[in-house]
Amino acid sequence: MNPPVLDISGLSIRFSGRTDPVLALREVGLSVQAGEIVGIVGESGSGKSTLALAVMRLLATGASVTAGSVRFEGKDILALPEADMRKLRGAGMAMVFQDPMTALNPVLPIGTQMMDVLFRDPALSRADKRARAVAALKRVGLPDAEQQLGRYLFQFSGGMRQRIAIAMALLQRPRLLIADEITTALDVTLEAQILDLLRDLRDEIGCSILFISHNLGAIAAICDRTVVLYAGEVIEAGPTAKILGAARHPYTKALLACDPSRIEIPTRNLPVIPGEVPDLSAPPKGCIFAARCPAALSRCVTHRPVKSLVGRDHSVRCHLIEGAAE
Amino acid sequence: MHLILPALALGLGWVGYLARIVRASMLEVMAAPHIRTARAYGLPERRIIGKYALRIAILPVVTLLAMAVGGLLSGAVLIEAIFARPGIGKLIVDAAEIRNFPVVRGGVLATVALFVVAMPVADLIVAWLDPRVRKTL
Repeated sequence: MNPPVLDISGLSIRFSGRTDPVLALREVGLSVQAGEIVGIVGESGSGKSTLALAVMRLLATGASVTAGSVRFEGKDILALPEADMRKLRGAGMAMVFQDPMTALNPVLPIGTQMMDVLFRDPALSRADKRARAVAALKRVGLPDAEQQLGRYLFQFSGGMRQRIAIAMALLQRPRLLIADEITTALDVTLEAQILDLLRDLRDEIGCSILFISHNLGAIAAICDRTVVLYAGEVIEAGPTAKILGAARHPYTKALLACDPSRIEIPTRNLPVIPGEVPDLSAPPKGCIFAARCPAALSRCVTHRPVKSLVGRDHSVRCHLIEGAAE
Repeated sequence: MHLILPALALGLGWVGYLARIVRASMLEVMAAPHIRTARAYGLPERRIIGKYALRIAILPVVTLLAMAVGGLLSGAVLIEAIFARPGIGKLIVDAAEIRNFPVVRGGVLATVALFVVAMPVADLIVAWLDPRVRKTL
């Protein structure tokens, strides 16, 4: 069997600055198989974007990988020289960011930006690049693609901007597409269209997608597998149907209970998870969720739970779960 | 050759000032999300700086340069007198010494006109560089 497109194991990332160092990610592991869409769900600050940027090796200065490895098609990319890593960016793996208004250049025509992405291919003439850009824009459903190349970002609507960003990411047919909260800035109908588009493109190009979102509905719609991230740790991972339908970890259950679209009886007050996210400059010794967990035992506070398998490809990190240790 | 010293004397004072403005402006742009996107496509750093960042970072500098025209003109009066260069500054000073006021007035009018024209020219350059400004014209 081929190695997974993306294989992250034991990844820990620390942010150091003027304040105490923050352990943003701790021993995160996940893998993405060829053609698979894997969702990463978690609340703000759980480390979703940090994880995505770590894979692209685009973390801000001050962030450093303290342990673990990131393998892309079997190759450890954390050990790659910067020049080789740059060759991978855009071609092997591409990333679409949350807000297309700030993520694309405001003063260059979109056509220029798209054609620049193809800078590596000396065999392509300007006309070829132009044709490729037009084809990509047509594919993502932009009307009059030919005329749009000379226009600027601010001349498009929000949905169109995100389509342009996706078209740009797929120009070089990457093997891995990282989508970081790409539907967060869009309204619900546009979101559904963009999700459909992503799924179709996966089928067409055969790329794997790492789909980062805090929107459970979006995760349910397109992800084959889902990883639940809480305060920088993977606390549960498994097939999406299992995570959303038969969650085992108390945090996942609490998260699902807070999803407004799942609430059947309308109330004035939406449910919340009591307590606060732990201070990551000094993460707790035991389970990361113990302080907020309704079912916490004394050993939850003192001992870190191990990852245990509770079903096919479904793992949980919780003391309350009896499962095969992995 | 005779222009080197006066040009240096007139311009050197601006160098550090402008360099600081360009640096601050550039640092701000390089931290923007769209620069991260350009990096995420593996674009060469040189192209990112020269094409993606500079075009934005240069905008405040263009406006500043237009305002600098006023300072340069007043500086030119002194410089021309010291280096004995025949120029509009020297013309005004010489005319003032012999109380030839029509020439003083004409000279001042010409320099003021130059300064006044510099600002709209800068605005046009900014509009040419930044499509967002063009939209509001």
